Amino acid sequence: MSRLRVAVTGAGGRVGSALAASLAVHAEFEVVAIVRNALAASLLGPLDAEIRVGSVTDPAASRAALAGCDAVLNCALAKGWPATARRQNEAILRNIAAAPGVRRVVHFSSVAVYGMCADPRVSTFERPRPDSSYGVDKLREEHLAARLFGARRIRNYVVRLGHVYGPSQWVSRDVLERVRDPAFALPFGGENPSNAVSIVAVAAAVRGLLCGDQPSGVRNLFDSPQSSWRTLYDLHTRLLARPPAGSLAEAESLALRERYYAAARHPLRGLARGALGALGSANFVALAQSEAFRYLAHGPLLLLPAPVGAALNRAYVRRKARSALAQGAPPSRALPSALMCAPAVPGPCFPTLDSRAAAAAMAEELGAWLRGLWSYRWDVSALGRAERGAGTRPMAVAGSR
Amino acid sequence: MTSNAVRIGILGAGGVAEACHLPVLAQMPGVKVAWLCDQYKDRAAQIAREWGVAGAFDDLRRCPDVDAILLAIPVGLRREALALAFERGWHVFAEKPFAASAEEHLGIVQQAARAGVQVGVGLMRRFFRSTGVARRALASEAFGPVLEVWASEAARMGTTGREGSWYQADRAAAGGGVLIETGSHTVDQVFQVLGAESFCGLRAAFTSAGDIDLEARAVANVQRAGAARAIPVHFVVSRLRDLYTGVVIRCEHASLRLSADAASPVEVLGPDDRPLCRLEGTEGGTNFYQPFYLEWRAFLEQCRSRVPSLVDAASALLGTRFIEAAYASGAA
Repeated sequence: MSRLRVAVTGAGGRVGSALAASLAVHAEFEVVAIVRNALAASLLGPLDAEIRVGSVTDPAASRAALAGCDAVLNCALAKGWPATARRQNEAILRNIAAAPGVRRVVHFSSVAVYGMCADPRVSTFERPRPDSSYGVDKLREEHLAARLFGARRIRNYVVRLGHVYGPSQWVSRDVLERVRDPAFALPFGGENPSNAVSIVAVAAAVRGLLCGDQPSGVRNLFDSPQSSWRTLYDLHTRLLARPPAGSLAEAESLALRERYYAAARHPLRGLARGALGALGSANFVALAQSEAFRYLAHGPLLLLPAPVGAALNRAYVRRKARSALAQGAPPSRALPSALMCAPAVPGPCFPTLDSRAAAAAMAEELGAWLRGLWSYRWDVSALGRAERGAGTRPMAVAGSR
Repeated sequence: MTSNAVRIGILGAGGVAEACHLPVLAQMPGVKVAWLCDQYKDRAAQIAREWGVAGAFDDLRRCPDVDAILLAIPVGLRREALALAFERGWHVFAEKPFAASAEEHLGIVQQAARAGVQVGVGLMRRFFRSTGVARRALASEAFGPVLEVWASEAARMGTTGREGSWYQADRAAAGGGVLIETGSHTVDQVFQVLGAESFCGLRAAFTSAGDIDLEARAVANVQRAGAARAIPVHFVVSRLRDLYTGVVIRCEHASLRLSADAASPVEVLGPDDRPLCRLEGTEGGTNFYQPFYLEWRAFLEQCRSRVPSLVDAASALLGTRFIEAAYASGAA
């Protein structure tokens, strides 16, 4: 049986590199890892894959990078000024669709399309309502992917990826940093669904999509069954041999959720407050610079000529810097994230491993990674301890002026 | 400098100038950014337009006179720019890393002195509130004598968003890899907090891709001003792996923990490393922009008074020596 040649774009990233490594150990796949520069390539470590350096945002470079590949796992994400990032992310999709020989694409979207603290009454599977630039762009890419790949009869799977945890994943790092603070407490006792997915489960789902016969379409991907935040935190604290995270009182949890819901539901209130303030002070520049304006104007901003959009962004940065310079010390403790107050995201999920099996499969690696992050001590034996008066001439700054 | 607005030129229209310096210079009373100069003139012109800067150039020789410049180009590409700036009598505020070797560092300081101009270095963690708080706490020996220091800053590099021409993939331009790029901050933060005077017994090891170090580990004994004995200090900086990020200073009765983030306070840890309390202060930056503002204020005051300030380039020489010696030790 011939092997499926799978290109992984964004293979230098945290998710991309883990998936490339995971596919590479399976005999049915021949992995082509695509990264943007040689330094990123050197981070991939020992990987049984062909590594190609090039930008998939560029049509010619993309043709070369994707040459001979049967399938593409699109983990690439351009960032930066929204209009530029959007153009680049859309170019990536166009270039993948134009690559000869590609018959199957797995494109990673995000549960961010539902909003940070998704209220199922207003944000549904069919009509998700993002509340961030990232979510807005991801949703737009979903539509473009379906259109481009559908037109070329490329089987395509748009994966609304949950919050990925596991070794080297940011959610796991975030868990660790939060539990460093003994006062940290999970809202609702952590019993809310996390909409998170282990990297092992992502890899299993991707293998299924690359080899299976599922029809094209959009689905969520989170742990199956859903992991609660409590399950997720307990997994990490257990591996670290630390006490479990505390629980936030019910009343505080409800108040926190209402605060996040209100911000997500009523962006107009923010705009109205900004408008009143601006009218009161006859300061229309302040209005244009407000967060709410940026939120509402996100779509139109992307249609503006780049210099105009950039100038507006600059005005926003000026305002942000001005307010930061006038600020006092930040609050001593960060609030629990809006994600911890959110309900389960709506809609169907791509099939994957049982979450308990996935957690067990990565426990050893995750534990080792977490311990490396937790402890400030490292093994100095290879260097030898610096001995006092070791005979090295002290290298001082004294007398240098 | 004249008593009118201080005119600043910016050499290097990259991310640091745009994200860190322009937003604070735009807020500083009595300061005017006169021009931006970059090898890519379009980029300089674009940023200049967005920030209302009058001039955009691609050749420093054609830039009008200013009082001071921000040097925000890679450390390996600064020689000609520095010579020209000194020749024209411009004060220079150089982004870190200041120099790749002690010889180069001293040479720049001496050239500046001969030209009668001030030269400062952008090591903004010196202006974190936590840095000052920890330094004062150690100086007072409130937690007993310092026993050892562990400093690390390590995150596996993910998406770089950079194409092949990225200066950090070019050793000649960057002056090295993660040790000089990231480690210059970490080493300086530790030396500032300790009040380091000298070091000895340095050993270092590197993991590299070609001639770019992706991970550096170093141990040395650091002598603090006025202290009876040197302290073992352990550094690790890495782009290869995720490791603990922060500085832990172990004292006889407790440990202090600092972060690489301006917003984080100093935490006091008990014998089992559990946080006991936080140390508060009133001076120094506590968010992204404040340390940049404070370092510019210090530099401009140094230019005016000609009295060395916290940004004075000579004060960063020990860090440059340390990084140079670590590279030499790792290569040996």
